[in-house]
Amino acid sequence: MNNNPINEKKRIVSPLSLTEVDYTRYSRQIIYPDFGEEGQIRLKKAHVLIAGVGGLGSPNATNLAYAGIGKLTLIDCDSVEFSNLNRQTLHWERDINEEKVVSASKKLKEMNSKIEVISLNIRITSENIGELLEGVDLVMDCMDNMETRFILNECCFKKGIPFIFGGVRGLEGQVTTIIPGKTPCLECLYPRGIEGEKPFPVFGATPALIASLQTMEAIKLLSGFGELLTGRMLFVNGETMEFMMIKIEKKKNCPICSGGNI
Amino acid sequence: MSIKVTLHPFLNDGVELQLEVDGKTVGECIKSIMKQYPAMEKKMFGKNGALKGYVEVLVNGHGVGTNELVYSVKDGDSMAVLVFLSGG
Repeated sequence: MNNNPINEKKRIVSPLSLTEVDYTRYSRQIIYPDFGEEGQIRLKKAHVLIAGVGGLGSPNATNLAYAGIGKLTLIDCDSVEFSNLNRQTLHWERDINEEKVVSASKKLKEMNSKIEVISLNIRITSENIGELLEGVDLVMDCMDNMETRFILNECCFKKGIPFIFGGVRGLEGQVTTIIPGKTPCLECLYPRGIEGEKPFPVFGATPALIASLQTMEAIKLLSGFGELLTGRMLFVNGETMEFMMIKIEKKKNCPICSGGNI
Repeated sequence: MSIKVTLHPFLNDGVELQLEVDGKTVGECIKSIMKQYPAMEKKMFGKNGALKGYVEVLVNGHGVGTNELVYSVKDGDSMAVLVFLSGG
């Protein structure tokens, strides 16, 4: 079974776009039967926006850089604080007070010098989001607040850009993949105005796990294989080691994806 | 009037709970659950009697908005009471 929408696009890709170094560097991925050279080329051509370079954004950016995503745009308006260092793995003691996007991009370029990393130290707003999403193939929602998540959700829907949602608290996390027009959007599930606690409790292993699940979704979605977390939300409870899958559906009067009133 | 309910593990001492309850609204269903599991009340409700901000209710897989307690349910509906994990 394959519910991956990218297969419908039947992209024409040239095998010439991988270098000899690429073939060696990504050989363990390329030998995966459903991925292959074509999958690697698709990753190389992809532009992924990582919204938030904190607990979820750090491991997502790391995983995607190692996997060979061609272009990463990092957006975060915060600087590194000491309390970030239990989980935000791209930021180290020496980076305190550094802009998070600068701290992160330095490490990512050392991990993989062949990828392009764009760093934007700005706050995502409903005014600038349209421009920020120009040319983006996929958004990784790694935010720590609901207001921005809803801004991302709405603009991704308007532009038809897939959106991979992740959220954490304590030893628990949740993840789902949103494909505009095909799956429920974030606002089908949660009403505007809700906001999580601040500061929220969290162990570093939780965002590392949830981010890795988000990255797996990204790799499958961009390269066109596998079964995505669409129409369902995965909850992970690290305290009991239970995984719970909840079926989710479009809301009939959703103000974003079904033409309802906000 | 039987509603299938899934309760997030956080609300029940870490154990996912699936049960069937009677009720015409989300609030009536939750009230029925509270009778069986009174310890959940502190986790689910604030002092004002409303559901806490991190508790979200899905009926048949979609959110039911901010007036969730008066949302109507019918026989055969499925309801999920979830904790929304919004940290990043």
